[in-house]
Amino acid sequence: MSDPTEDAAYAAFVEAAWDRHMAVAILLTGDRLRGEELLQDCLVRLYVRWRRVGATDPHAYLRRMLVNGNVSWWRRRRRELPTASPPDHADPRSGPYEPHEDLRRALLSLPRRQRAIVVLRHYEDLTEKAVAAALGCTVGTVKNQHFRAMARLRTALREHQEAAR
Amino acid sequence: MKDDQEQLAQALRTLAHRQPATPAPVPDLLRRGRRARRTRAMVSAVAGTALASAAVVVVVGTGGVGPAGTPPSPAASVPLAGDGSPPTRSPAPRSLDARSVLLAAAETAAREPATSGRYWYTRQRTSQPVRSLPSTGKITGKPKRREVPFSATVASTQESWYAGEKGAPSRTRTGQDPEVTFASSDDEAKWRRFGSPALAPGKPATNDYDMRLFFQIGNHHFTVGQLLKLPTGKDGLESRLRRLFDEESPSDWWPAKPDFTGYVWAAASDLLAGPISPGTRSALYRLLAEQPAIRSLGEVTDLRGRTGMALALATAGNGDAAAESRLIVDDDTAELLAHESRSPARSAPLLQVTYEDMGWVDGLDERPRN
Repeated sequence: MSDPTEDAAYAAFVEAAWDRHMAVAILLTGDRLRGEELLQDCLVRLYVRWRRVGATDPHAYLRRMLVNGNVSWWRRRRRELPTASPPDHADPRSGPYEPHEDLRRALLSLPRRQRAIVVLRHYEDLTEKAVAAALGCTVGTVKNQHFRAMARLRTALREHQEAAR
Repeated sequence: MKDDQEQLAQALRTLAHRQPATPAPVPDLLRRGRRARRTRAMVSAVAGTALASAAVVVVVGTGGVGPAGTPPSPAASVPLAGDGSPPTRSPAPRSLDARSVLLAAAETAAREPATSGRYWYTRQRTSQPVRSLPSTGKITGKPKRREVPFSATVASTQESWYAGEKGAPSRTRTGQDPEVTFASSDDEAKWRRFGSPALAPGKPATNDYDMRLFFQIGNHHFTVGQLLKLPTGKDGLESRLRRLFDEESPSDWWPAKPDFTGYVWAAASDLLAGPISPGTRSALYRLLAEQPAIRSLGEVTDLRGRTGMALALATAGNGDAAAESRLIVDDDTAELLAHESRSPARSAPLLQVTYEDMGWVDGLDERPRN
């Protein structure tokens, strides 16, 4: 069932894709453990359908799985996986102050798709058209949701900063 | 504003990379990937044992799991055995109700990313009983259908490349890997006594078309481009299909124009193997979920040994027209694995079409990766 050439092509793709998509997965899930879990799950699914991905760009396909994939849905099917979530991060005020902790929390306060738009636009530096393709929506929706996401992000950041004082 | 955005990009980079990078666990991913594939093969093998005893249904969970919570219909718990008799082994099998299966497929389909390419490719294996014999060459008066004195099944594979662009050529390659299976050695002996007539095409044929090939909804033709533009919402798709249904002339149907459920069902067996968007696929499953006559037969294996959920619809009529049509859907990907037609009057299926591969490619004779 597993074909050496196919496995080699897949392995080469994973090597090349890992760092870049890991960063996206961390930003989407807000956490390294969950990010890695999401990325690994998507990569396992990608292996299963490596042939079916066909003539499409596997990076784009993986990105679409990352932003559209519902982790809990997948986890439900993998019964060997513990259901407990990784422990939440400690209260930011109890440790040294980390400015990116505010951003992490602000990002997590966004709805999933808005978060994906922010990450794809500003981290992956994708065009609005490419973001629309990844999310399977129109450019208009991306523009709209992006505007809302940025407004929300600013408010959330301000609130976090005020709360931290 | 520009500065703002640059600041955000910088902050995101810091956030994403604040912990040291780990290397990609390639061997582990390969192992898990292979296991994911193998698990499915193993489930198939178990289901295969049940198939050997002629029962088509394999026990799956209890009903009412889906969001609808509809109890499984009583009919759903009576599988149609391959030989027309009730299955003798195992306790009464229960199936997930069809509505739950279809709604789950709709959800899965909606999550699948949209893909594209220049050609839609399918590879399908068709298996059918031998119903008539090739004519002996002498044309004398009315063609007479000779009764076939033995029982055999012929299978062959067809590949198709459906061009998306206007003016681009399409191609099919038919009659590949022909295979004749006799129901018993007795049947094979009868065939020999009958003069061992050829039952399958001798060699594959490549057919080039300087036009786009069509998919069908009833008797309406749809090009690849038109299929991709079908509505992506359930209501939109339903009203579109109702309009097409109303336009169908009863004289184009044998033995009779089906009801709307039958129409949607027949369209689904073609469209689900076609290049429709994830939204349309999802809408189609939702529309099917609303049709009350569709039953779930639970988990089955197709001819390739892949597992999927079988859904069935009885078609009205007499003789072979009183068939049961089945769709086998991969519950992992919401892809159509196979469709079949069975008659309670016959032991062998009337038709089995198994989709071995499908997807986008960029040129004729190309196949989806590997």
